[in-house]
Amino acid sequence: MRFKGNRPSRLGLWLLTTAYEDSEHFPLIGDFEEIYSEIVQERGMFSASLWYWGQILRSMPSFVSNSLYWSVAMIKNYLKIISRNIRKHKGYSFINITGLAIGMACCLLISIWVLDELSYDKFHEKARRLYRVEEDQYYSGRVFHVSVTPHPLGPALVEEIPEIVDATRYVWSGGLLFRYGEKAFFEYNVRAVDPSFLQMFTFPLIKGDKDKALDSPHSLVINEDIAEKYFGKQDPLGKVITVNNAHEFTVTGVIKNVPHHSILQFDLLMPYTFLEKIGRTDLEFGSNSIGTYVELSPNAAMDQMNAKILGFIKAKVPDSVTELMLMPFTRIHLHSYWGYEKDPGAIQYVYMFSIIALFVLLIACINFMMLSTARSAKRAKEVGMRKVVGALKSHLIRQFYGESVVFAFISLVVAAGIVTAVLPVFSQFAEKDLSWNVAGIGSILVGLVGITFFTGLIAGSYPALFLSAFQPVRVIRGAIKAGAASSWFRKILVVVQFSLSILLIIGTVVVYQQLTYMKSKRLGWDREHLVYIPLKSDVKKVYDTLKVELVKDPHVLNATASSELPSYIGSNSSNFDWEGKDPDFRTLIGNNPVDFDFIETLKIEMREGRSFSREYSSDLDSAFIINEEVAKLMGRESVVGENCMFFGRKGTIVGVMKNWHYQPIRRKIEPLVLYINPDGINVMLIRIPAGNIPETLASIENVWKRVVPNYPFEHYFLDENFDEMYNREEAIGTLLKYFAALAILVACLGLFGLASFTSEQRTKEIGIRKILGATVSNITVLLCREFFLLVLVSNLIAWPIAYFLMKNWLQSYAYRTSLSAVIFIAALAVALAVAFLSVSFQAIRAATANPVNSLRYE
Amino acid sequence: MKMLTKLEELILLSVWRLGENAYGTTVFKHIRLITGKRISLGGVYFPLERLTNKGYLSSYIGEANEKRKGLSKRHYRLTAKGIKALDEVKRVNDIMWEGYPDFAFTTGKNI
Repeated sequence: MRFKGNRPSRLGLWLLTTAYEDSEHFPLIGDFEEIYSEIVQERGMFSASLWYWGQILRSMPSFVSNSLYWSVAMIKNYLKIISRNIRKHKGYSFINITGLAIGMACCLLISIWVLDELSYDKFHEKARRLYRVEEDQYYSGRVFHVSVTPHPLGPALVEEIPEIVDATRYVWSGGLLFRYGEKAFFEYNVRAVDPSFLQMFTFPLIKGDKDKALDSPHSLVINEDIAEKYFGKQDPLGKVITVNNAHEFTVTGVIKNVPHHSILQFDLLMPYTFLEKIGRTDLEFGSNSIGTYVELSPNAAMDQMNAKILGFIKAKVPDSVTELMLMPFTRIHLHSYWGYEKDPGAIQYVYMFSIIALFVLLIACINFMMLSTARSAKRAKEVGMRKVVGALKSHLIRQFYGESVVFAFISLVVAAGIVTAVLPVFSQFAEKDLSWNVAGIGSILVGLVGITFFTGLIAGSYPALFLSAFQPVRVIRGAIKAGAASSWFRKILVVVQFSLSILLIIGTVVVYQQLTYMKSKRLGWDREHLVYIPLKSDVKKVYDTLKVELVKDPHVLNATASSELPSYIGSNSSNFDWEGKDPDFRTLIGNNPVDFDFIETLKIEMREGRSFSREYSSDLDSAFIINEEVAKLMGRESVVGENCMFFGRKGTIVGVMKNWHYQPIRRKIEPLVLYINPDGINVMLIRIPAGNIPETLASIENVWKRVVPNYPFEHYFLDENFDEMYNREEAIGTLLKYFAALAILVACLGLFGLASFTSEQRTKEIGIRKILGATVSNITVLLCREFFLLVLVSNLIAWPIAYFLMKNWLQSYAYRTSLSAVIFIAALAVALAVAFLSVSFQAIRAATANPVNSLRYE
Repeated sequence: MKMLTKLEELILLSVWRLGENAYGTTVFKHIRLITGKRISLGGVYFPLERLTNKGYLSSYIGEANEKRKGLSKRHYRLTAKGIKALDEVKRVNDIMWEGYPDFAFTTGKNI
């Protein structure tokens, strides 16, 4: 518009029009013009311009507040529409919000679990400089990886290698009897360490001086629980505890209880010097039995150090086959090996769960997008109306994006609530003490907020970009059938979603099968109804009497003793030789000193020969029983009667056992040699009958009290110990099961919502079909068919992926379940059943509706 | 019914007083004349529009003239609702001011 005569500045005009964009601004400008020209006439141009600018400047606050007023009004309107939408479509909104919330909650819970796994041992101040010394032992071309080391290694490393500034030995001690006054308990979590232990690791002392606590050979550091157990409210410092009724220890320090995310778990620490004092050390570099941890100087690089210590043992013992290496302390929990071989370690579970978390989140997000897109198609008319009353495209884009982002954030809040509520239960399943307060949760939350925002944006994109471009006339006239264009998009989403779900189903079933398989696999011996009693030094002396007395008892079927529990025999040696053995061939062979009746009590099957027997006096010092693996090494048809030698003990092989699992089943059965050695036994094994266990135990206790009155009777069941070894797998199996179920539930919610949407969209079509004679089943099939096809396609996509992934995973187990076709077909069946359940409800409802209702209005 | 703000009250009264001649400029001038305050044109204009939206005023487009560079006026007129609102304000004011002495000739200190 062109103004003649005295014209206020263009800038001022522009300011006026922009500030006032939303309505017709000519009267306002007219008013300005009117007063302006009056002032020009009265007082001249200059004052008029002054007035004009003054007015504009002073009007600005009103302009601003006015435009704010309108945007607030619009936001109020948007919020109102959102809440109306939620209320009007309760079902949809519920499905939409809970679906996403459950997905997010799963993802959060798994993240907390994963972060906790990753946080192991990172709490030590010097964590980055701490390493465990490990060994590779080479025997005839095969490498055996172990994490036990010789006793003198630690001090020798500190002395000879300048970069190693400190080292501590870590000696596992068996059960020791601790007595304070009337209170006497066996303690199993006792470790003997060097004084440097408390300096290297961050286990803060509540009481006592960490620099001096372990200096004297008779000092003792205990944790809070032990302090409470023995001394109650008294000050533990300076109290004297008697160990094994012989040695007196003075409490010099109290540490905080060791947190669960520490791989070093112990209740009591005694000084290594005590072991030296009582002669329980081993000065040889050739035998390995204790842990060695070292601290490097701040600028030492691990690779260089590894090269430096590689031949350390070989330099001391010329014919050694042992090479040393360092394992970063913080990596032990997730990356250490399970067997002799380099296994994937526990990190695979972290990967597995991270993938599941991603899958579940992805499924939930897809769900959300799918439902939002489907539902928004119904709002074409609203878009038309808004445009008719003057909404601009930008307003609609803002509205739809805002709406779906608000929905997504509501879900996030609900998810946070779910996680808080479920965390205690989840901790129980996971057998960990989990909380929100885990290192790194901040970045996960930020990430999740980002994902929420992103999901909201994607979900809002269809209505925001596509619907907002509609011409209102055509929408309101019904010329545009909204939703058709997005149906391909939705189909692809359904397929992706179900492929992920099927992957999860198959994965879970295989993992679960493998776990069950490991637990129920025939061990080769009977672990049920087997009681074991740890034998302390004093009790060992009366073991023979105890056994004689016990076997007399009708409640006891059989009794024997062993050096280690048959569920885990860890000791091994390369010192087993047989006649005709290639002198260059060396390998590690497991060995276990036992008592007579070992084979019978454990019900181990023999392949050939006989078991140990008192009838042969030579059995006591010159008989060996081997397992099939040793026989395989010897490479002969029949090995019974062969001469052999073990640590200088000459003898003959009297029998060959069938292979039995003497270590966790994930490990391969390795060669094993048993021999009689009354001095080597540590644990008594008693076979009891299946019925009336309390009575049996009472009877055994009576015998015990008669024979060893000064030691408390302490007994355990072997199958419990066995189950404990699988705790971790068990927990993981349980978690996996629940997460997979939730993922499927979320996918179902999506399908349910989608099905109800499609059947609603096709109401008229269904009505007409019915009028023309379609039966209820015809229509149900019609509505279900599409979804079934999608689920079938998803299966075809998921099967090969699942097959390769799971085959790979199973490869890491020595004994594994087979990947049967049944699992895949079952997954298909489950997916179809689930799809049928969620779709058929809607389909039948649509099919049984009276066509009059759907057609009446046109 | 929501109470009117002082400015809204003044604007409604001005519109009533000005009758057929009530549009932006006149309302603005009238209020400035009576109150002696240097208010801004925008400060009058937006309340006018808001009062119209709320239904206290109705508006119609009037004539244009040379002074306005050919831009038409927007005239305002009180609606029934507007009159009712003013009645209410008057009723409240009358009661509130009832018996209040005229202190025009006294100083505040002697009250």
